[in-house]
Amino acid sequence: MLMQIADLIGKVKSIVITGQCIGGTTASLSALFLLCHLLSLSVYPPMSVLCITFGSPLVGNEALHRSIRRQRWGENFCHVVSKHDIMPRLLLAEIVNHIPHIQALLQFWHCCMASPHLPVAGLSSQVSNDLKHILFHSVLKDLELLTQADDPSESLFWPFGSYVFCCQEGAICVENVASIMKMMHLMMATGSPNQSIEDHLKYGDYVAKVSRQFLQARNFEEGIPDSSYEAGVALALQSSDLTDKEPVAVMAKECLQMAQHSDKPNLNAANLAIKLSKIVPYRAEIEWYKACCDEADDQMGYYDSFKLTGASRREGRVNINRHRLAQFWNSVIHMLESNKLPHDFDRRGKWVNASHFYKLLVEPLDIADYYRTGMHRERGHYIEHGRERRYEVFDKWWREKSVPEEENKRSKFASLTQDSCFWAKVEEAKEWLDNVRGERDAMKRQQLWHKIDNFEAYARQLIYNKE
Amino acid sequence: MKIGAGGWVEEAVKRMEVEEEASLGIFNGVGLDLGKSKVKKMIIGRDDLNVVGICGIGGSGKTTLANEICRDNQVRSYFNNRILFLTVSQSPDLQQLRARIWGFLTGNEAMGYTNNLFVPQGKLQCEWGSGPRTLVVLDDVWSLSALEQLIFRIPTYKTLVVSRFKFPTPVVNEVYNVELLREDESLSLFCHSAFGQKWIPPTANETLVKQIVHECKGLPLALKVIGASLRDQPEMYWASAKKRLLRGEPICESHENKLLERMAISVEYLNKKVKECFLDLGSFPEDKKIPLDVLINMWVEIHDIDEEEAFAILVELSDKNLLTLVKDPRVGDAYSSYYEICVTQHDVLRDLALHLSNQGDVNERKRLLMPRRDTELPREWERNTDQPFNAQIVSVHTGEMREMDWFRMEFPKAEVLILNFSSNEYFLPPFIDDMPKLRALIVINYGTNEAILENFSVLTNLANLRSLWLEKTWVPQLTNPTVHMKNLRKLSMVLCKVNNSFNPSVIDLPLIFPRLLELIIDHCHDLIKLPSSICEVNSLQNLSITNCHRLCELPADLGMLKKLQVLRLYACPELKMLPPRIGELIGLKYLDISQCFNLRCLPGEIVRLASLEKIDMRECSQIVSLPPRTALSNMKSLRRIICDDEVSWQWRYLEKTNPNLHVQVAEKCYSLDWLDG
Repeated sequence: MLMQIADLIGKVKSIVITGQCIGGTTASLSALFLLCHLLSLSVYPPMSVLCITFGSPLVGNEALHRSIRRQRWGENFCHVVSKHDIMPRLLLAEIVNHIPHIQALLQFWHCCMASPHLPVAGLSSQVSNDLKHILFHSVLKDLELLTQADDPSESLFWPFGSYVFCCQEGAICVENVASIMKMMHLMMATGSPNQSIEDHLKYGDYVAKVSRQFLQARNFEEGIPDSSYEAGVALALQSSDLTDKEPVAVMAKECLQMAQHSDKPNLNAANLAIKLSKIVPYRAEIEWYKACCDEADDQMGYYDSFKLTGASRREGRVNINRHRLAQFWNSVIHMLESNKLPHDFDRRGKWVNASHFYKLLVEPLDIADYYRTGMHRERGHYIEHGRERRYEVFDKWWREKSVPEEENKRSKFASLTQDSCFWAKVEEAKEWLDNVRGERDAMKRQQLWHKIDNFEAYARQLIYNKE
Repeated sequence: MKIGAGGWVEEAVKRMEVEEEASLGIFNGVGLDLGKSKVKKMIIGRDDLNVVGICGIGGSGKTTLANEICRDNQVRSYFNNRILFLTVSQSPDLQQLRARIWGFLTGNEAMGYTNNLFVPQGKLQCEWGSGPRTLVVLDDVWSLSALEQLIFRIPTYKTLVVSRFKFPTPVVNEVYNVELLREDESLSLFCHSAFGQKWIPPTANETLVKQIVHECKGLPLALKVIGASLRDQPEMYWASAKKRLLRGEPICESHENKLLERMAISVEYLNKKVKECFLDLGSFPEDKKIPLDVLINMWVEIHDIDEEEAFAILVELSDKNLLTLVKDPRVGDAYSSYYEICVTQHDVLRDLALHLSNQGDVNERKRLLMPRRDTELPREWERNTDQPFNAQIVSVHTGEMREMDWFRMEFPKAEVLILNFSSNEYFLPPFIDDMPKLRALIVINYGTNEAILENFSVLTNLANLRSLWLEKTWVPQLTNPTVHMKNLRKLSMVLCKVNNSFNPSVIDLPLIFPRLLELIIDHCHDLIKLPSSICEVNSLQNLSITNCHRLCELPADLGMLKKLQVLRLYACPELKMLPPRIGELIGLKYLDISQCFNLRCLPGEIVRLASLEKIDMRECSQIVSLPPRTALSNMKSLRRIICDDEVSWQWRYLEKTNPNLHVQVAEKCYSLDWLDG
């Protein structure tokens, strides 16, 4: 395969990998391999990879799902699932007890596919009734349990990429995990054991039908919906062929609504920008606090003021703002990592600069709080043990900033130490100094002195750079 | 010519004062520039405003500003010199004033004084379209009813109202609040009246001058009057004047007459109860914010009023510019907490309160107050210890106090004791024993660190003590049976160290506080866990644990507090969840969990709170989903939700089924008021 790809690079623009049933899983794995390989080659112009599977069993767990999302490869996978097909649903159920049944079933399917001239309808009668019933009902039961537990993480296998559910009426495409599971359950629940086995063989028909239905117009049965959003949901519901049965239809509707609610990266980014504008004044309040401390008679600076002052309303307010900002930035990182934001989000100047400034201003307060509450005695020093992950992320953003470094070095920085961990280093150095006083062992003393010298050199460097 | 009830003498005096005040501004344009441009903008720039106002405390230069406005060339040309300046005063002759305004408007000034008959009666709503632009300045307005009769609603006719009070917006459309002078402006004004020049002459003692200027707190009238009374006096006299000022006493007769008496007019205007409340304000140290809760508590205890009335009085005092409410969007909301809101008062007003309550014999005074911080109690008090003091309110302001620093005093009538100090240790006064009627004790430490309180057991004998406020102290160990406060209704601990007394394992709260109704723990940063015995204080109606940044969990049995009506938990950022048993608080009416940034969800049991009326959940940004809609609709008494934009749509669904429900999306509020402590 590697050889084949090497040949193709530069010649083709896209590769489509496809497969049915077990072949679908092979296709998925190959596509994954290909994507990883291309990533390491960094080919230009980029080659697009599309993997289409039909009735493929699930591949991979939650971790795989998440890493595929993070790499933004979800769009590269399209899994087609027919309405009642049992195969893609099998792995969501406890199947340890049914392995012989499944093997029999696979064999049966294999035979059927080997002779495509046979009419699909009625084929299932050749499979023993017992087998069909056991499998169908156990899968259905487990699926129901899964969908009722609000949290899909209970399942061992997780879907990834987008799922296309097709039926007689049309097809719908869903990306949200919970919705995928729910649709799997709802659609299967409307079927029968026979259908669940025959449907696996009907992909050809379905695909043909869907491509024909593409242009078919649909009508609304119960008056015109209130919004285009609701119209979208109603249309999708019609396509899923679940409209006629009352309780199922309601559930399906909710499920589709859920699927539509999430995942609008640009909209999310725009909303987040509004939130940022509301949160920035709180940062400004901390700036004022800093200015206020700098001007105070006791020359304490805001780090010491915050660390040493006992209970006071002023420090209380600053602390609340610190929590408020931390919460906001954590949520930004969380959104970015769960792919709710545009992929170049962490390169946008607005966010890189805002996060950097936040880090410079507020991280010293976090350090102060860490040492004030004596956490360093419990957990160890801040830099190794107490630093919040967000600051490391922001460090990374700042380093990878796409803007070219300004040619002329700045003569003055905005009154903030440019290394936000400066104070943590000061605290460590302070402890070393205390230890030197108490230490008798010459070797250890030597080490400590060495560390302190390093710190001194570091501080000198900062002063030299006018940071 | 008809002369009003106020009499022409007063009118004449008034006029003189106006002229006097006007002279303040002539040389000193600095302090007025901002105000002038703002008022001009209201008068010239805005056609939609018919009536605008200038408002500020007595002696803050309102009339001067109004005069400057009338003299301003731009204003004069805009109105084509059709400007009428009228002084209304406290007891105006309304008929005559109306006639004058009418005459001025119609252009028949000559007949204005006699022909009252031609003035249209009732509220003046004139039909005729637009006449020439006219400005009428009504100076020194004291009552709304008088003002209403003097306003003519005619387009192109503007009224500028100058008053110490704020009038409601339907009457006065927009108001400019006069700002006080900055330090440098104060100094040049003071020097002008004291030395006849704008700067301190080299012969004068600079620090002394600056100290005296500082005492005037930027109030133009105080600067002028005090400056003038010190003119050409020897330095010794200046020094003694400074001391008297520090004690809140008048320097000399002219100071008393011109400044304090003049300020006192505002106070005489109040009804008796409000006036008493105003005088109570003297018991708090200068330049400090007074927590609203302390104030209201005190008023409730000594004036036999309820909280609502106390709040109304507060608003009245604020409207009359006799105190300043520090702005907070929550002020006045139902169930909102008072203890985070503060009031401040201009020093001259505080001096006035002190001056008025310090008259008479020490033993007979209703309020026994220490005007300034001192190292020891006033000698005047010590001299009179042989007789009981009849004071209702006792206020002490000192540094560190040890057992030896106190002397015995008898207070048979004292109901409120306020102990202000700044130190790290404090011995509670032994004379508390001799205050059998003490109902409220307020201990406030203004130092930087929490103070250790000694002699705490003195409080055990106080059968009537109903309210206790501790600020910035270590809360003493509350081990029974040494401390037993059987009548205590309200306990507030603000900025305190509570951990060693609220030790969860030892303390038995219901035994110590059998009748506690309200418990407030605010800004106590060492509170990590509440003692579980708090759940057994059955009487508790109001529990506030706020701004406790390290509080990480609530006792699971909180549901046992069946009488609880108000639960405030705001600004506890470490709090991750509410105990599920919260659903058993059947009496709960108000829940405030705003600014609990890490609260993950509202527990599903919350829907069982059938009497809950209001929820405040601002900035609970982790709460993205609510309990199921069908369950939420069981909360029938819900009236108001305050929340953020993100979750508001989920609440709005409820608005459809519950027409009484109002969902309010909270505005963010930013301020820098907190910066100065």
